[in-house]
Amino acid sequence: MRSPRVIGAMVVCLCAALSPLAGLSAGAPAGAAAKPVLTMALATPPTSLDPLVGSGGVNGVFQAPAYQGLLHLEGNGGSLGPSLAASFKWIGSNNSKFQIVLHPGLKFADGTPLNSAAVKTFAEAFAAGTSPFAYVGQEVQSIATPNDLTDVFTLKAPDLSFPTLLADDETGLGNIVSPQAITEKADLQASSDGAGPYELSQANTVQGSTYTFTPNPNYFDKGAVKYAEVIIRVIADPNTALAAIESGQVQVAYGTPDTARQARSVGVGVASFPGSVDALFITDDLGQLTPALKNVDVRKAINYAIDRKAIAKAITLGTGSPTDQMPIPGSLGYLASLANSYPYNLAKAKRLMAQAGYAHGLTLTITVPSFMSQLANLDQVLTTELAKIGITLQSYSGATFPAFIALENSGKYEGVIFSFPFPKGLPSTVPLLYSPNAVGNPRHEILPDVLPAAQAAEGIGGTKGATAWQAINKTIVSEALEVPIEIEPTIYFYAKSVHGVPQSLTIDPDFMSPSK
Amino acid sequence: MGIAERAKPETDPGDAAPLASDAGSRGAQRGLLRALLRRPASLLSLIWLSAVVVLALGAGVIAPYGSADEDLLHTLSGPSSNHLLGTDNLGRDILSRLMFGGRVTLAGVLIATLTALVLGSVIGLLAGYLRVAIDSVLSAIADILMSIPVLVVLLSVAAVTSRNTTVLMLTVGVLFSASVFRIFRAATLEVRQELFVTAARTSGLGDLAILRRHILPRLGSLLIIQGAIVASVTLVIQVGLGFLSIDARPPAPSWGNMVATASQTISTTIWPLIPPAVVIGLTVLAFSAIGDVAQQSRTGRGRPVGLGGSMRLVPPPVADDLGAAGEGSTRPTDPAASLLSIRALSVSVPASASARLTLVQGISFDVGPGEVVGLVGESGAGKSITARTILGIVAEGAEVSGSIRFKDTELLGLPEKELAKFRGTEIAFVGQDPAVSLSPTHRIGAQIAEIVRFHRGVTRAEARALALDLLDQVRIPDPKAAARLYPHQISGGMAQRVVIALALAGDPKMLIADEPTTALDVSVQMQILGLLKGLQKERSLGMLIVTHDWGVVADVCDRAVVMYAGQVVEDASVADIFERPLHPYSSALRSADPHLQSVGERLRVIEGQVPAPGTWPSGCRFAERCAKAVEACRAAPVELESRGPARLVRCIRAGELDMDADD
Amino acid sequence: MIRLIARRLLVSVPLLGVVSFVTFVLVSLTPGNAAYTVLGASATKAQIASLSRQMGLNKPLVVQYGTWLGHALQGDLGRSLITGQPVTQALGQQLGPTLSLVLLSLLVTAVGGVLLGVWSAVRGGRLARVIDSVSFVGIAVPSFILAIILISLFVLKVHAFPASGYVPISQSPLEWIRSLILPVVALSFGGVGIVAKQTRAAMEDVLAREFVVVMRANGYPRRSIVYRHALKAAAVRVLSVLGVTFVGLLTGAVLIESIFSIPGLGSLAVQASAQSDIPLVIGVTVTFTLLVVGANLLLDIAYMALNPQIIHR
Repeated sequence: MRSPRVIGAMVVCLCAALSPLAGLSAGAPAGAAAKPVLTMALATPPTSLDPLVGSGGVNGVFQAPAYQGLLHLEGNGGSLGPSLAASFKWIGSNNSKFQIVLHPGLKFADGTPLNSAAVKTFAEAFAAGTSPFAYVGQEVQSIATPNDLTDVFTLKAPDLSFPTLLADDETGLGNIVSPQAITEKADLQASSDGAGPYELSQANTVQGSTYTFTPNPNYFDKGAVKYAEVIIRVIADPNTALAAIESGQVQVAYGTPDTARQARSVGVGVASFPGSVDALFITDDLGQLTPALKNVDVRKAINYAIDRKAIAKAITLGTGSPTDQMPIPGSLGYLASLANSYPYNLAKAKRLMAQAGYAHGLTLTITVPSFMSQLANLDQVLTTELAKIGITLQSYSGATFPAFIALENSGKYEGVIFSFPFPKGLPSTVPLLYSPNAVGNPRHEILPDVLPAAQAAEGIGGTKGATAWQAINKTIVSEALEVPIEIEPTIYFYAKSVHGVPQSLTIDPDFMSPSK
Repeated sequence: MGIAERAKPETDPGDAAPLASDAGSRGAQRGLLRALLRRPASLLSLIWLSAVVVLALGAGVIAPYGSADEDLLHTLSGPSSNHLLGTDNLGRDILSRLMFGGRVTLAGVLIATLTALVLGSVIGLLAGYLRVAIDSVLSAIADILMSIPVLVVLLSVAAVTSRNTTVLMLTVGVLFSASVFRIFRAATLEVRQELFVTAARTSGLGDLAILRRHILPRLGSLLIIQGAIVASVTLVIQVGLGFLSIDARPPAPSWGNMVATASQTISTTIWPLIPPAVVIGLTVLAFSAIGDVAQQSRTGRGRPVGLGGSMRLVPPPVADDLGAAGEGSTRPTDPAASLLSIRALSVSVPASASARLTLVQGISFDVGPGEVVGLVGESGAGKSITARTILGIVAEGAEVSGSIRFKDTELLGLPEKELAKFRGTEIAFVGQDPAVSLSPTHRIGAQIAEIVRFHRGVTRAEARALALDLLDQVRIPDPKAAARLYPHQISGGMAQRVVIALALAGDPKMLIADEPTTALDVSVQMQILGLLKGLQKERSLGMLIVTHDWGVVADVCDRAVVMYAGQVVEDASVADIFERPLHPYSSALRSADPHLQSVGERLRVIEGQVPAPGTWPSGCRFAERCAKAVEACRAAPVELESRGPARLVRCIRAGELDMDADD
Repeated sequence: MIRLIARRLLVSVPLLGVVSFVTFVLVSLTPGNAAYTVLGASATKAQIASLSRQMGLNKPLVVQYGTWLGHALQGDLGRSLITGQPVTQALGQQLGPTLSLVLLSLLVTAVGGVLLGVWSAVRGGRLARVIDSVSFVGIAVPSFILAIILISLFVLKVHAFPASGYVPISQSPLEWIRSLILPVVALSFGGVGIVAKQTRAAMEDVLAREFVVVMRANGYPRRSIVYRHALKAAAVRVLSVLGVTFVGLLTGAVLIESIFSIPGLGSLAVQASAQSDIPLVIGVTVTFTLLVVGANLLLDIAYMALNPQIIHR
């Protein structure tokens, strides 16, 4: 799960010299050879710096500098390329055996060799760990190490998206941790031990507010380490974050539609990518908490009661667009015919409520990540709009990512408002929302209409696969399992000294060490 | 932030002290209400608060929109005819949200304030009244509560109760009850000390009855003051909680979360921040203004004399009731030969916005070099004011006319800076109550050395030596030890010696002593008088002694100037006036002097009181109390007339009466 | 004097006890479970139960508190549930910014408030009215609203100050000051008004006293009367206002630090409370209380230095 406002998520290449202030404030030595400092601003601290405990979402940004994946996902939902692994391929034809071959001579930051055994140790530890994405690791049946550089993953079931999981974004399965740290149970909250270009500088890190990374001396591609320091600061207020860019304190920060106008007017770089879907995810589709939600009419009523057009205009200030489905146009599973499946229709919504026997309304409790201001606003709008059909929305907000995750995963709420970037479409959406242990499925529901079909689709490629995913999408929309609302652009602000507009929404090591 | 306002309850002046002087109980409270309604600041505040409350309560009916009515197509609009105060980021009407939001915010304030008041006042009352062992425990608890960082604790409470506003504001109330407790405890103690409670106690009233009848009514106005103060503080806290989004659940509005919402969009427009900020500000102000006015009406604090201000020299009043000009001409002594020469001196102060009050009217007298003049009279005669006016020390806004010549210089009308040059070096001053005449926070030696150094321009070391020398001159044993003491460590008599030493620091030619012995024990009085007289002789100082004590006049003075109701009524040598007072008032004063009365005789006093300034009759001002007054006395103003050499009297019957005869 | 300090310290012991215990009870009532927070989202019930036992979470509250207290007395406040960092270390890291912010604000409040208060008491008239209005505005505008307005004006409109963050004084004294100017202004503005008002009242009372008349009548220079004698006599009351103001500043710092993204104890408190990071919440609360205790102690000493009646009896 990933916040679109997470900034680290961008490919930035710092070509020109940084502004003098930033250089000064970071204490970088003067001179032509001196490497600049990259400072980024995020709205929230991570739940953990330890990939084995907390991965995904905001965590990925904080882990990206110190950890690197086996593979590398290029561009915006683009193709896979080599990274720590020099080559990779499926073995056989049923998409359940995947082989990678490592670069020779790799080392972790602690000096331990990064070989096939180390990869195996990590992957098994990840599957056994408590990361919300541990279920991804559990897809692996076994790992063979035919030689020192080769790992062969055997999956429990075919899954075409498995290679993506080995890339250093998304789930954390790519963030290989040193076996020494794993066996010695090193404190990876306070230190780092990966094969990434940087390592956490404990002395200059203030947990919860400033995270400083310095170059990893054992990194295999020294030329790619472009910065003397990478600093991630937590700045909750979007206005403050923008001002920090203007004043040169920060080079990259997340943006909001509210602040984007101001950013443009003062000449701060604004990069905007279409791509994440703001939605009210219903986590109690089986109605175990609130029986009404089991009734498809109630779920449809909710969908009909929402004025998506007005919301898209107000919340994204016209930069977004309304949507009724989870995949964005062009991604796997997207079906143009599903557009406008739930036009705003209060009368119909009320009728459906009455039909379901809830003319007098009901109460739903949901969680909201209030550190994302648009979602907090969306929550308010939904509360007002649903009140019109008698639904009282009670929201519990998490002011930081850890607080939000704690609420969300408690399984006590019937829904959650969140925003997912799904550039690759349903193959990444469905596992996240419907796998029994997925972070997006806190009540561990098993939806019979979705899960088996998705598991089947994971093993199919090509046009056939695409059709299968579209069928799943149709099911999700027609059963109103979720309440997609709008496609919102992901906005980044960057200082003029930073070149290379973000190419990808994923956490990509490119911006720290472009290895190509 | 405003929470620092907790300062107010524990430190505001007159927390408890004025209670003692609060005579009536219910009457005082009605007075308080009247004061609140009369002063524009508090009246406006009351109006504002009522309006806010009415708008909040009536929001459902009055508000143009619902609190959560969104107009997603018109977000962040400025004021318009549709939305008087514009709309917020979701197109909601700011005015309506302020009204609805007031409910949450004001309810929170109400809960916190009531909790603090009830807890604090009841426990404070009991602790103060019962004075039992638990008192110290309670005070310790109050100390603890007041040391707790409010917001940090509230954050924990918020986490536990998932932002239950009621519980949060109850917590705030409990925390703030500590300061209310302190005030009420102190106030109750004060009242309890008072005689009538003791009397009530001995008369057999039970504790409860005493509390109900005597103590509670007096603490009522304190409740209003504390309520206003606590409300103004808790409002800020409540809004702060709202800002951290731990009060109302959005989209339900509160003033605090409106600020938070507005802060999201300040880079686009600052407008949505303005209405809530103004409403919050005005409401805080209204509470604190009410508290202030209530406080002032209790303590009756006006602008004190203090450093005093610039006095204004005005032309003498047109010879209306008393011919000021005429008096000068009747002066027998030669002003040129005097050290100090006062002519037709009048002093008035502002009594209200429009009216002025004359305190001293047309005073004239002289003090010759080496001469000791006593300025005699009962209190209210204007003696002290006359004495202080000579040094240019008058109340703010005072107007002075006439002439005060010292040697060759006209002091009246001199700018403060010039006048200051005379103080201490030419004319020095010894005050009434030595216990409060010295700077309480500095050692005696240092105080004297400071002024020595200033007047004489010597080095620090020399100044210290000179200070010791001065202390020795005023016959303080072991000056070295004395110099190291603080004023509160020495006796009244010693303090007066120190004040005299201090007055002599600038080697003055003249000394003004304002009732120098009144506050002292009788035995010490004699010593101080002796000291003054000795020093006066040694240095041949001109001296003006203000006194009501005929004995002092007899002991040290050469001349006596008798004052009554702002006027000089008799001016004569001490020998003359003792032998044969010409004014009935002088005569009465002399007779009333306990020193001169023989044992066994009934103590004679002058019946009646000096008429207060502003109530002076147009005829003889003493006539009301004068046994010898006739109709003519009251008919017209009486002139000061010469009666023999160096003798002036203001009495139309001065020639015909024998004062010693009892009529 | 020693007795007074001893008394203050004696009061502090139950104070710290009460505060830590109350916080302990409060946060242990918070929904969620510490073991759960440590283990992360997909921990199994068995894992949680085992860690809970390990952490002693299944023991009675009083026992848990006793254990905590025992460790606390040895300087061990436990570890953050989220970051695993020792609480004392986190507190140590974030104490500097808070102290810088609060102490600078206290300085501004004290100097500004006292000067304004003295001027208004001494001069009266129009100046007093102007100062009154300033204090009124200071009281009326809560610090966090002022902070937002300041950011909007001086950061977003005129780029006069950095928007956020904190530069340690050891790194660059100039940047340290620059990073603190707006927060300090926002935090101390209200306090200046209150202190000015109280100072004025105290000064007016003192200036009305007889010793002022005597000093003035004997030629003491005005400056000396006002600043050396009257102010010192009024100082005790002013000090007690400052003491309470300090507590207020600490509270205000919580909001101001959050708004300006200053990595201090205040933002730590907000974050820890939002994340139910129990050991950290308790640690922050205890630290805040310790600061108050320390301030009160300093205040007592200052009282004694300023008020000879306490020591020289």
